Amino acid sequence: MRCSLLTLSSYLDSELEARRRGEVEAHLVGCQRCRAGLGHLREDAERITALALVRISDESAMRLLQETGVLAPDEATPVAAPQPITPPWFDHAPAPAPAPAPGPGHIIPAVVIPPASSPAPGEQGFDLLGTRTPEPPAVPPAPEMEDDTDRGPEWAAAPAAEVPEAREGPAAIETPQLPLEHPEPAALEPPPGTHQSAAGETTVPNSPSWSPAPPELDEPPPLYPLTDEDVLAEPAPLERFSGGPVPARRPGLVGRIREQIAVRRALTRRHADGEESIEIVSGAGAPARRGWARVDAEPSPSMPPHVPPAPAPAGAGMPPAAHGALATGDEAGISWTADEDDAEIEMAGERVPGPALFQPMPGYEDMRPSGLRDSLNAGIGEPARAEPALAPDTSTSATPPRPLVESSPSELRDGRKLLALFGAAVLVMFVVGLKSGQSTAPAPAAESTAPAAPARAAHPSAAPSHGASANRPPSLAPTAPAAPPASALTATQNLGSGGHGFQLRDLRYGVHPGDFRVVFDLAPAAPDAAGTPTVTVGQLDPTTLVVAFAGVIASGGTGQLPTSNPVASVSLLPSSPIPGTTAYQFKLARPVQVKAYYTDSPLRLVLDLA
Amino acid sequence: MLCTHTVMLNVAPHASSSYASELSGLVREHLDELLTYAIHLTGDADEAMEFVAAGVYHARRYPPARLQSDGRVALYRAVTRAARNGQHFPPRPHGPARLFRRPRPSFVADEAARQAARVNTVKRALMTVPFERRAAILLRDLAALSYREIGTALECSPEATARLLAGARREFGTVYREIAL
Repeated sequence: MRCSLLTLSSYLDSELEARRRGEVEAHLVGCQRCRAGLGHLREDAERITALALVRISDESAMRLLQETGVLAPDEATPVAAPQPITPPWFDHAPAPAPAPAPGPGHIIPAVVIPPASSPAPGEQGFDLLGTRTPEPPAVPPAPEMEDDTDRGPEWAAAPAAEVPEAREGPAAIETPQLPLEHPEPAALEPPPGTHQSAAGETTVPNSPSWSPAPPELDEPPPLYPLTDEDVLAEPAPLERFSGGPVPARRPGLVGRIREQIAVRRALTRRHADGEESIEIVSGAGAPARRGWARVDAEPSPSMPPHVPPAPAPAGAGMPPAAHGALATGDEAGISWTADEDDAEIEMAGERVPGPALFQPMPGYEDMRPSGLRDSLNAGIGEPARAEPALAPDTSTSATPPRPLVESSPSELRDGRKLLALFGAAVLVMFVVGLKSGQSTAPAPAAESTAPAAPARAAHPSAAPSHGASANRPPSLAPTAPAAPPASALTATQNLGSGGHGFQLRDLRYGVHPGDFRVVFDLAPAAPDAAGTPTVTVGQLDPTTLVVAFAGVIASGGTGQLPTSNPVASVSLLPSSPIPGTTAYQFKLARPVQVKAYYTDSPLRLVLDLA
Repeated sequence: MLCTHTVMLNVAPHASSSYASELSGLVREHLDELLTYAIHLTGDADEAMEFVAAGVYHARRYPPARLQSDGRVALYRAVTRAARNGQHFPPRPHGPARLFRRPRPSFVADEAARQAARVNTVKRALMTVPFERRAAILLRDLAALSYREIGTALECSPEATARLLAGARREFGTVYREIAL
């Protein structure tokens, strides 16, 4: 038989069959290592057994059974005597103390306590085989339960004699007079392998180490087919009920949006810093699509080769920096400015266009106006075409393509310029519209050459002129003819007795077989109106008739003209040729004879045009 | 025409009063052991109480086939499963409901149970042992179950129980000797 922790453990638990148990006992006689190991196993089992036992009160037990549905709410708790727990190897353990009769709310001491009588060393129930850790001298029972929760490293470094053995809790509280340890350590002789120093301190050898041994083929099968590898090797963890690796939770919608925004911002920042390895092709930060494609380093074979500008003669007005560049073997004798995006080269004190970063597509022609194109390119490093110093070298046969700066900073500036031009154009259009609106606005009343009548000025509807057509827009009112001088009237007829306080309510027209009649309906507008108002009917020319009322307020409209009549249009003159009167002007299609007269009840002025 | 219908009624065993009385007696008989085992298995008296209650509730809902012979082991198995899976009784709320104060069960751990749950060197070393090994060593040395019964409680074979116990004892002894000196 070989040394096996699994066999010893099963032997300790009396789980081996009789024959196998006899073999183990025979092996233990001659194997000190196994005796020591068995002793350690027994000590550990004692420590586990010595853990505090808890007794639950009947009241709590009844509540638990009732809440779990085992007992009905009105059912009494069955009282059962607690059975002592006795491990099979603990056959010499004394019987537990009889439990007191539980009463309601009474808490029984939580530990099953052995009797206080300490057995003699020879009567103890352990075999004391192997090397056993010498116990410290008898430690008086602590008044409080051992609690090493707060102990630190200094406790771990304390000598073993100061460490009380673990028997805990309520036992020490309830019955401190009872032994908490397995008795006898002082009576034992030092086990073999224990060294005692000159200072009297006892050193304990290390715990026996267990190593696998080759299996014995002729060994009878144990009660259970056990192998040492199952124990000495790390036993397989029994995590059959664990859920396994839990996948990370998917971030929520807000988290995903935040991540996308952060990535976009990071890419945009890197792209703006000139990081060419990262290119945003869509979304925020992506370059704007133009009519030409982007060609980075290698131009397409179908494209015309780019001819760099001819370098200036060395030393001809070249600044010291450029001299240094030439001296160090710079190919074109050029030195790039700090801003490569501008693609600007300083050479011999001149602004020379740099290499074309972007080539136009074959067949592409810049359709932008030359002025706009030059103005845009002038600000971003491209020379204006009108400058002869910046013109490309015409000695070469292939015309170098005009560099179209497409990098993002220049593009941004390009866009800003376009936006500024658009804004300026809008502003100019706004100013022009404002000025033209002022020129077409109606003339203020103060600019009128003739002062308006007080009654007319008080009437708001008297200000605009009214055409013969009812749907004529009021904006045409300012285009009403100006007031002709009173001396221009011919064939005048004066009617009325000089009455005042009347209002022209309506203007009606009538087509008769022999003539065309125009009727002015007058009504008194003031309580003291009397007589007939003075009216003057005259002609400015054969086709223009003017009717001027004195002391009459004009009406709101000029009425609806019939379709066939000699009157082409009727309008209220803003300024009457006769001061202090309200004048109507009739445009005639043909020269007519005018006959004017008043009619009473109601008061009307009738014009017969024949 | 005469129609005969056979109605199958699923009458749960726990519905009978005799089973309830047997189960209540069995639970009351082993309640102290179950609570002791759960306290040292979990290290918390209140949680142990709820795990024991969950085990008893499970035994009431799903009674063992042979209550008299396997009832004790079935109770240990139910309590071990409750502690392993974190099944409390009364059930703890999940989701946003856990932010609110949950009702405390009327049964609470006694002061003796709280004292028993206090940590000492042995318990500290015991807590370093994995759950299955810790349960095995407690079921053996504290509850004095046999290998076969431990296998039933832990839902494994007696051979696996022997390996579990041997490994648990080796691990516990190593840790205890390291932290006790």
